[in-house]
Amino acid sequence: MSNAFAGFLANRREALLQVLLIAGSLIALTYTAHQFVWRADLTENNRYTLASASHDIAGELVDPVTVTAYFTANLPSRFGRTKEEFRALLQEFRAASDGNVEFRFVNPNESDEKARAARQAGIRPVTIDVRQRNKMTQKRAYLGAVFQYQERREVLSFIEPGSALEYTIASTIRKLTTKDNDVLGILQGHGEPSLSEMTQLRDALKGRYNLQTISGVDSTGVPANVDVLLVARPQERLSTQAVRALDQYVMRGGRMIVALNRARPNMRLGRARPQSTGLDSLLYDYGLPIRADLVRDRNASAVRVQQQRGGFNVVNQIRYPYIPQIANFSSHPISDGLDQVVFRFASSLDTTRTDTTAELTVLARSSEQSATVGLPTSIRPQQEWTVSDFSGANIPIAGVLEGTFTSGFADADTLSVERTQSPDTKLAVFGDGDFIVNGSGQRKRRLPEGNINLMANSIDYLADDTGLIALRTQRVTSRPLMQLAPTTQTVLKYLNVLLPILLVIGYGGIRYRRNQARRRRWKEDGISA
Amino acid sequence: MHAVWTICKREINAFFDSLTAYVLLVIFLGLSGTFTWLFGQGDIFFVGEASLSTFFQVSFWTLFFFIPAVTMGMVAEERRSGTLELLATKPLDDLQIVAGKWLAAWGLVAIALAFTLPYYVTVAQLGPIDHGATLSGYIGLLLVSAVYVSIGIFASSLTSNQIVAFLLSLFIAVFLHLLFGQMASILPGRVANIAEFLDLQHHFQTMARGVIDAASVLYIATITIGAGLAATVTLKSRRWH
Repeated sequence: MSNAFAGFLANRREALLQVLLIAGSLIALTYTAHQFVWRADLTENNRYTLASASHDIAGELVDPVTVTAYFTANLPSRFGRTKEEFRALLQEFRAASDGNVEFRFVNPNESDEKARAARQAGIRPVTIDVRQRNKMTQKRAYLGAVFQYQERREVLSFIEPGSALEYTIASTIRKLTTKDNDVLGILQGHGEPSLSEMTQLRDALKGRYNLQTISGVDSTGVPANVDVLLVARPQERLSTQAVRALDQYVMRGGRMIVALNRARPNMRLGRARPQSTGLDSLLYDYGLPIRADLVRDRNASAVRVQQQRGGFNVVNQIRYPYIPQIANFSSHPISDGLDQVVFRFASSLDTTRTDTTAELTVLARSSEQSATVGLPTSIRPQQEWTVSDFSGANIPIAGVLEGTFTSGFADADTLSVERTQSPDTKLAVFGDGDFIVNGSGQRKRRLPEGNINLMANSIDYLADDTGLIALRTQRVTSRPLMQLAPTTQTVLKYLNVLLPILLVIGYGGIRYRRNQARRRRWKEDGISA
Repeated sequence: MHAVWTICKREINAFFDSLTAYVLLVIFLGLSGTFTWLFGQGDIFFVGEASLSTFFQVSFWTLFFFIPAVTMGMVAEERRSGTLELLATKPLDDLQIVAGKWLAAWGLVAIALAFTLPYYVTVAQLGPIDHGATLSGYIGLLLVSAVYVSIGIFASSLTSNQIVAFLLSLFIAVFLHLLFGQMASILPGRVANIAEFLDLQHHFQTMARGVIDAASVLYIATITIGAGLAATVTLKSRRWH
């Protein structure tokens, strides 16, 4: 007998002790590993490794968040995958929150009672096409969830397949657990549109932010509780004191969004002339000024124009290059996934001043056929355009700067300022002030969703301290199979089912023949098999 | 280690020299292939995703039956035919016998899984498969198999009847495979968490989607070593009188 194991389990008493010792050690080790989670995420893009922002949000939970997910079972792959990803991410959040995220899945299609409960909870059913035995049928499907924390609840009425699920879960938990909303200050007093003139933006931000109009900054400065300040389309020049107040707000680490009109168009005269708001030099010092020009783009919205044709007045729809339709966005949490934004008389951003420490991301650019024109200029819609009028490309119209900024008043002789250098902060600049303004009365107009999303995303990005918004761009990767002809599919199906079996049988046959041959040889050699 | 390896090789050779081996492998591959490619919740082409997750779910079930069938005779048959006593006369410890047989059975499962690699090759040719998640899925199947093999050998060590060993092995494994999961869904709070941790399916699901958790690996190792130890104790107990 081998000596190595001579004493192992030698008798009943020793065996009992040894087994208890080994089992105890293993259980203790497993328990320890369960406490200090270590996991290897082998998936591409580390799909199931939560971002630090999500970890922080989950880790800060003091009471349980209960998630009731209403998902219809046996849905087509796109929807089924969303359900599985949602479940997997909830598991990750549960692990990160030390069990403070609890969840259960309900299939509302199981009974009328469950369907009623789902609808009462605020889950919106959708109708989707389902293939059953090679026949398409329509099915009422539920893909939603209710998050409950203490007395508060948030409802995700429909979870879009392919959407950024980690962001959805983390931001919902954050919304539930944050007691005070961020304050969005809206500068007033210099001809800026009021909140009632920006109804779409106001509705988009309602409930997420505490909207506060800020006026009289030249005397009182920007209030300290403002998390993000929106300076949208001032039509009068800001006083030096007001500009200094904005500057000091940024120097304190405040985040600011500036959407300015550098051109003042006059349609009756058919001319646009430059206008100054007093903020131009401040933006210049921060490193992202707006040029006094106009962007014209071949990809533009149409306007109705009265034209003379053979002695008659005719109203025609023509493309007007000064209302560019922008679809050229960078891959950034603010602009990712945007479809189209329509600007009106936009000016270009000067991105050449890169000597600041702040990092610049251009969010939106004009198309491949566009150009800028200096001010003043003619803006008559009847103008005939040629290819040479659009000789430029990719002109920046919106951008975001992140980093530290030097005060615009740092070198001023007469005006002493409290702070000359800002901590890390963010500044978003738009070369158009009108793209979020609905207007009022007869001139009120509906804006494209993209316009509102661009501004709402910018506010979210600037207000976010956790880095959570970066997760917005993380989507569930679709891995579609190549489309094949039905015959090829059938061949591949049967090949995969039969090939491994044939390999096994083939190996068995070869082995059998080899053994037969060996036995025959042994027989010939006089050895009994 | 040499003795363990010798027993392992002997077992694998004996397995591939018997018709049972081929019948079992054909059943395993037939069931896995059919439910992955032709029928079931959704064959790979119906799901339309370049992923082997359907196969992993199917295999989790087929292995549950396949492994007890592989292990049922490993000790029981030796006990019935008296070769176990013959083995006892060799310079071998019972732990080495169990380890050798465990390694052989686990190796057989690995070989059976290797025959499914054409699935991976096909899907990888047809779409952007997540290679890491696929590797993790296979690791998950191997780890789950390690548990079932241990339980199977333990069950086989308790009796000289192969059918009894097969049923006993299924009976023990069904707790880890199914019952703890069911308990987790009905029990309250902390007890549910414990039941969920004991549920092998929960650990396998995590691995099948591409995440390998240290706690899962240690839990699986604990059950595997525990059942192996129990099998050794059963064999050793013959000499304690």
